[in-house]
Amino acid sequence: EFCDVISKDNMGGGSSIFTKQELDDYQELTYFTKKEIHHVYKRFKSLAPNPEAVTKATKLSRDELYALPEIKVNPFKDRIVRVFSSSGDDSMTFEDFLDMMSVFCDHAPLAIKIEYAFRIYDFDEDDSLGREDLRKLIDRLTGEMKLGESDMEQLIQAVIEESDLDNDDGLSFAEFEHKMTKNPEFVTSFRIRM
Amino acid sequence: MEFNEQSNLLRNGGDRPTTSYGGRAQTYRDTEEYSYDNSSFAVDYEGLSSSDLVESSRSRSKSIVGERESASDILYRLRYSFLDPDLDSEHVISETQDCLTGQDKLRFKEDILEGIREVCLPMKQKLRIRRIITTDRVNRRRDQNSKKYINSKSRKNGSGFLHLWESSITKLTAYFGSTVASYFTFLRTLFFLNLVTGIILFSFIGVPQITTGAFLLDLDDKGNTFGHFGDLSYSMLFYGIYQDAVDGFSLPLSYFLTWIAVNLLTVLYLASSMYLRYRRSKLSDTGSDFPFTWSMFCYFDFTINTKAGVKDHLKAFCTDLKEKIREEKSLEVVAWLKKLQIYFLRLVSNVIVLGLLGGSGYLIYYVAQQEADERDVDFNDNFKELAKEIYERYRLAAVVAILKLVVPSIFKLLVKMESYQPRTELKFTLARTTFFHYASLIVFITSLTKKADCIDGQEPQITSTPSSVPSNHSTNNSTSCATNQCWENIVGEEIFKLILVDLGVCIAVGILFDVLIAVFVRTRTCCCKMDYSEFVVTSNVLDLVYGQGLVWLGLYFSPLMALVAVVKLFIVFYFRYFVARFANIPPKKMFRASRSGSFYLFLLLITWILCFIPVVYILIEKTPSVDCGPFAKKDRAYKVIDFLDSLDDLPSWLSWVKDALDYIATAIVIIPVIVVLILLVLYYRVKSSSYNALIQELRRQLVFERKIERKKVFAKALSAPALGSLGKTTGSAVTGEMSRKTSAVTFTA
Repeated sequence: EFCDVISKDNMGGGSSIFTKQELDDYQELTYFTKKEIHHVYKRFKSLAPNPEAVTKATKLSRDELYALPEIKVNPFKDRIVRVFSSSGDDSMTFEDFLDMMSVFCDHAPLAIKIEYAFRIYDFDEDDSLGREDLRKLIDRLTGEMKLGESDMEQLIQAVIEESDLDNDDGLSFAEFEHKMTKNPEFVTSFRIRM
Repeated sequence: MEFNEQSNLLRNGGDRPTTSYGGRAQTYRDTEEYSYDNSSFAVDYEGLSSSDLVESSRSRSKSIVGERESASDILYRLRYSFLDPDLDSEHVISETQDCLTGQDKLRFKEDILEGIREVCLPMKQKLRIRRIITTDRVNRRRDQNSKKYINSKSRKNGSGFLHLWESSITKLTAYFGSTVASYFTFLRTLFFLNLVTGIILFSFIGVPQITTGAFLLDLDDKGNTFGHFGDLSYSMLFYGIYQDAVDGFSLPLSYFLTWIAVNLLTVLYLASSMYLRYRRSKLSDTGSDFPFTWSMFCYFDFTINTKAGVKDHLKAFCTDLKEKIREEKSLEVVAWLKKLQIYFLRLVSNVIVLGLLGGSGYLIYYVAQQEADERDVDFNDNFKELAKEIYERYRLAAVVAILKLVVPSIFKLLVKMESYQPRTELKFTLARTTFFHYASLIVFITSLTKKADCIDGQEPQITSTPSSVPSNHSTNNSTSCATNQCWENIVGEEIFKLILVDLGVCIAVGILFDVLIAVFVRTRTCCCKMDYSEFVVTSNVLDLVYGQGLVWLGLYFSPLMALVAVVKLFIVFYFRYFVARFANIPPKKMFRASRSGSFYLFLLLITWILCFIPVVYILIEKTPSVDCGPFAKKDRAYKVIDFLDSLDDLPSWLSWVKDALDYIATAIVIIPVIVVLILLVLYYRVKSSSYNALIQELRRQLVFERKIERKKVFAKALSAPALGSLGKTTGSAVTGEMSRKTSAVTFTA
């Protein structure tokens, strides 16, 4: 019962859900401050069907995660959840959730964002953005208005020509990183604010 | 050779490896630590699984005797640990940790701890690794370092005041995206800039004035009223009231120096934030480098999280993409006759633009030179008289504001006639509109300050005897210098009028266009297919910059102008916010540079320069008015600094200082200085363009080298005798391996 009482008091003593060691660790391992970590935990709790019973070990299922307002209408939400789910089955614990929000926050450096962006856009998970990946990406991005087949082909061809330097018909991580570091818009687009 | 039995992952062109992210195994393999001569062997890859490879590499790494893995090696391996599900990272780390002692151990721990955050591992694993590493000793040392780091971070995040309006901006971002949000953050920056400026000016100039108790200018002995705002004209808002002597505090000196200090602060802030942003962007303003790749991967804005917002965003993306594809296709050879026609049209439109610029400049000058009849506003007069009065007073401001409204729209229409690419079209319109704004500001201020000149060429008398003057000059307009009453006040008032009229026009246009169209669309009264008006970011930003330029112009003539600007920005923010929420849709075409925000700072910097120079010129050349203001007794405003004043009568042994200063100000020195500066600018431009050319050349070499390497290896593989298991390899597999290796080595450099 004592533990229940403590876990209900979320902002009271500062580190009542987390021990001081855990909070320090989280702060060191993510790009958040302590206050922000608490805020993220509150949001995590709000997604659960039974917020009172949420502990650090609770796993949120995929559908519960999709209800998060920040990613609810994102065309890539399934990829995001898959990439950050450490067990690979689209369910996330609080630590996975914290990891995800940390990567998307404003303070995360470019390198880590590029790394995760590459994983998110790599639909078939073969470590390369091949033609099929690009095709799926364009489909997600154009939404309801589909591009014509010839336009799609031309677009894929143009991207491959621009960025594929070793002629293996796809973008490797090095090539992707090479292009994305040059674009200042990437950081402003690839973030989610809590 | 001992590495013969080692296996190697080779990639076939069409064959995807069995595990996820398998391709990076090759990259992982080819670090300097594990370099080996791979031309001497080739391997059967078909039957391999990744665990074999990892096993072999691990055993190989153990066979490297005495070679302990450093922290960076381990971090590197951790980055690719998704390849290797059996990699027991904790085991490896604790082993390595045990091998080290003392200072090395401490450094190892610190390196790992610092680097672990950047590695893409699930949080659980990172926590486990941290638990292994941290001991009390390391903690104590790191706590000291991390406390500083945490404090700086929390300071950055915790100050809620700097995040004023943050929730409103987030709500807007959810629908409109980052571009529109950048306009509002820019507005907020301007708000704080003006607030700080206003507070400094008020505390150094306003507070001493308040202590004297004089809130209104005392004009009993003058008899002539010059103000257009009634009591407000003589208040602390304008220059005229500030006295030239306050007990124990030299108000003129403070006035002058505070103004200079505020300007310096502004330019320092602008230059430093531009510098920081520019460094971060790594010289990548060349938007045409990789248009397709960038629009595929960087366009989609993750900050939008409403359904309607995403829909509009994706629609804009689609149109943008289709446009880009059309652009590609349309780079065909245009017929000779059509080219001629296009060039002729461009010439015509440029002539029209120049004509418009010249015409509006002359119009502003003409209206400013009209002397308004100085009459009192008597509210007993009938309405017509009142209207005429208002017209005459606000004539100049109205002309400038209406021109500002009309001419950029004409520019937008004109540029359509010129058949440019859409992006060039936008740039041209932007450049012309900016130039027009600056030109109108400069003409405005110079024509106003002509009022400060003596019309009949006399030098104004410094010692004025006010009692003798009014009897001669109470009724006619200024024909003699002594009656140039408080020209600084007049200039200040005109600028203030312009700011008010500008605000009024902005609100009126917003209501008339955006809100009314929204009402029509919602109630479907108009039968034609109308859509909501877009939130055009560029023209709104230009408006903000123009307004800020006005404030900077007026800061000398009216110290509290900054606080007026604060109130104005507050009103503008909420007005735009509500119009955007209820009557606007996201812009269909996006101006690329607008997301990063450094472009706005650049505009602001240019505006600052263009507004500082005229005021400095006025300070140096014009005599302050004799009957009001802190510099009333001086010949020139800057002479309030005693050093500069006493230059006239220095002791003879210091007279060379005066001679030197006089000499410096002549053309003989200034022109060569300007020439040298221009040459420097040219030199740096040439340097940067040659760097660009170098980058292009290197890129070409990179691609070329790839092709040549492949051909070489292909030839070698075909000609080499079979080495045992080589029989199963094909040329393309070897080529694939080579290309991956060279690409990895070159890219990770």
